Amino acid sequence: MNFDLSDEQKLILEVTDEACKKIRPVENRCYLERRFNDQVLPVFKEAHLLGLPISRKYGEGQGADALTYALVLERVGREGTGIRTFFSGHVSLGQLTLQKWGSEEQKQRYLPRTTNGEMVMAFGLTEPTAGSDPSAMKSSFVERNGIYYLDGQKAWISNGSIADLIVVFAYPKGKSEGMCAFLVERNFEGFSSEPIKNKLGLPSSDTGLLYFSNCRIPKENLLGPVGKGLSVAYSALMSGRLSVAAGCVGVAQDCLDEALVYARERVQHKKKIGKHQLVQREIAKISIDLEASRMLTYKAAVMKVKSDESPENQDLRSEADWSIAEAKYHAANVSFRAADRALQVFGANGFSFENRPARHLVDTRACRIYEGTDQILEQKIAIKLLGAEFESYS
Amino acid sequence: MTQQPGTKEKKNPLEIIVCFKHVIDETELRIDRANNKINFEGAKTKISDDDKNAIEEAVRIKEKNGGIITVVCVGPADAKKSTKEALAMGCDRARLIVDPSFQDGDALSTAYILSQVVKKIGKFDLILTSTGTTDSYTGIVGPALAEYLDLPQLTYASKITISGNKLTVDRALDDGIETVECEIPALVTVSREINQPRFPTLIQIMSAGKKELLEWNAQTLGINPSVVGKADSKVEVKSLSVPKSARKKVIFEGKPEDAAKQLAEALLKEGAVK
Repeated sequence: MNFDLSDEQKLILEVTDEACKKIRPVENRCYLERRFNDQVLPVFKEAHLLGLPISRKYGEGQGADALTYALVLERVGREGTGIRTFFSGHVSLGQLTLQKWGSEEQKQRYLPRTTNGEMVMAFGLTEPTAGSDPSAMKSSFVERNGIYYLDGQKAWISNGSIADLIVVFAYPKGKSEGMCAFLVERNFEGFSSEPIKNKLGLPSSDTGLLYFSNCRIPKENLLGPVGKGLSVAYSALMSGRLSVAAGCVGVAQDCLDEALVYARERVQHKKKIGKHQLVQREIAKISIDLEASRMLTYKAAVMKVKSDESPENQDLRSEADWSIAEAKYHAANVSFRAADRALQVFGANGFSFENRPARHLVDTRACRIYEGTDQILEQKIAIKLLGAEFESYS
Repeated sequence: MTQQPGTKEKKNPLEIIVCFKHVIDETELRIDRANNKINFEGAKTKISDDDKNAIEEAVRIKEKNGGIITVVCVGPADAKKSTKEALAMGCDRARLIVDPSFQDGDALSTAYILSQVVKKIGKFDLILTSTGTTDSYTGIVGPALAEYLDLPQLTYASKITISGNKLTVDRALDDGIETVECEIPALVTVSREINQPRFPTLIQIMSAGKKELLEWNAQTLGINPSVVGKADSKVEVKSLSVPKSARKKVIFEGKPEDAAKQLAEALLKEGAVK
């Protein structure tokens, strides 16, 4: 596989870099004040990045392939997992899912308004009692006179309390199969949300609780075929996981950059700490991990491009799914370790959110949980090799 | 120059030439304070910030009046990336001027090379440059280019209006705005406050690859290498060092409200806040 960047990819990364440089001082303030960064949307809207992998048919959609989008998310990830998480919720899990499963009418109705930032998207699968096990979901719906009525609760939803349009999953009332996906607008009767407080990390990024109380959903807002909600969810998670992997590569890169700057300047025992071999080891380990993760992620992105080009080919889809799971697992763990190592290079100064490694350490911890925990991904990767008969939950 | 002031026919599309410099991103430089040196290693390159304002203004003028923009860069071969960015921002064609003999020249040398480029392009109504580039900021290239081409020069532009053959420019000066007029063709140097440069979309970036980008060298331009670049440079950079910045360490004593008032006055006086 050739990962040489095209001139066009280099230029879109320049644009992304410029937007990232704009957002960094704002993010610094928001992070330290532990408040939502409401400038992420306008800054990246100006850079035309809010609908990057969406078809040009829909508003500000730019039609980028999965690799180009991953490269951009890697750069965004350097600014922090909170900012990248906005993209994962809005674009990867939201818009890409709508683009893949929505009717043409649904896409025309919503995608132009999401790619231009008028509407923010989110993805509501997780519930207070259903994380890795979607069959434990309690959200349910009934259909009456061509209207769906949804009851339930969703938890830990990225962009949840700021989203205007949410992909929501529920079972038919009284059943634990036949899951359906819906497009729920913020202003639908019976919907409410609130931000989750006291999180370990991601203080500048929104994570919400969603409530559905006899929430009235018009029939035309069913997403995908009846009973195919699980397929919708799994396909969305492929895009979501790739976005996490790419962002985590960016985090590891930022940890390396920060460690290098510090090691070049900090003097202890009358010499720069970069001259101490045990500090050099931390830097070398971050670098080796980072390059391995980057290659896995780029490979996964290329597999996704191939799968997207041949949507009917289930073998390609399965290969892409597996590659993405490996990349996400690896990158999430690498970014966490990289943050820990960079923090160690910083010594006591690392033990402060004033410096970036500490922020990465707590923020990137989420990446080992959301979009598939480490343990779920380990199983998924192993079962692909062992065979479907080794499926743990069949 | 093939065209004299006043000879332009109004029906012809406006021909704009905009010049930019491909520079090192100053935000990526590492400062070695212990040795008083600047480390350029690994630093990225970009279109000089103020030159981006010139490109943006050219595009806005085109959007308002119609026309064709030729973007010109004298620089290294890797300036192709920046040249494509200028095309993505809305310029129509590009001339990248690369020649080993052009390296390490002073601002006057750059202005001379640009003047030869403009003469080879031929037809033009307006030349835009920045007031200065973010690396050396000599502020000479624009005015010197105007002199080489015997053009009226309108500097520090914060607003540009074109009506027929009349060019009106607001000049942002320290103590006010001066409005000046002349006939095109002319050269204008723009100030940073004139606009906010746009981000190109991916679609514009993709289409930039299809626009005309020609590489010219000393031979193409008929320039004698002995009169440009290091060979003829009147200025030699002896050293680059980091300016020493000392903290003023002023303490305002007295009641908190009085100290706060003194602090506010001092900050205003220093221009730290406005």
